[in-house]
Amino acid sequence: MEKTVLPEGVNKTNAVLAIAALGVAVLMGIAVYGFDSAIPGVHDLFHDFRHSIGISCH
Amino acid sequence: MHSNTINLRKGISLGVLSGMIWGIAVLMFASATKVFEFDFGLLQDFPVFLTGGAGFGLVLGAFMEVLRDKLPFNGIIQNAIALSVSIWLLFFAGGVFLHLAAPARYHFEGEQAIQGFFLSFVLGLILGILWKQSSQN
Ligand SMILES: [Zn+2]
Repeated sequence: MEKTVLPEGVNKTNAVLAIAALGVAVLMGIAVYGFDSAIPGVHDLFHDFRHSIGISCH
Repeated sequence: MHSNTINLRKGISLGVLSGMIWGIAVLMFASATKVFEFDFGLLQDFPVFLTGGAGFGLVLGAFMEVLRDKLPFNGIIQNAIALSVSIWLLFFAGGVFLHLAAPARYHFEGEQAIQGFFLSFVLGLILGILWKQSSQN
């Protein structure tokens, strides 16, 4: 009864890719805000990128 | 042939491609405008901007595909720009919130914000053009 669970146009590939895209969105949040507690070193690594795209930094 | 089914593979592929092009453009643009001083050299920053750009592009491309029937404009390029700017505004708003919550740690720089806003427009433009081309083929 998969059709009752998944809306029309949603298949397994799309579901997996959607979850992956949400994961990337979270990673982008960690990178652009420089949350070192989540990924050590990410603040310095993405420092120039963060300033380039106008996100608050030090 | 126009397909009514959602194809995230397409959205993500186009998003990553445009994001990588954009990442390089961001690196070139920001190093030319000099609104802030780079900590690292161009060569060191290249893979970082490529990755960061790909990440943003991926998220944008995925949302483009999922929301494509719900976007406000008739043109693909206008919709891609609107969505790109909207996603950037969300991240920017998070930065403003962090600035308000911890002003000593997160600074707000007007010129950088304007540059970021403009560059988010550019990302939408790149994705929109690639998207339009791929739908015509
Ligand atoms: Zn900084």
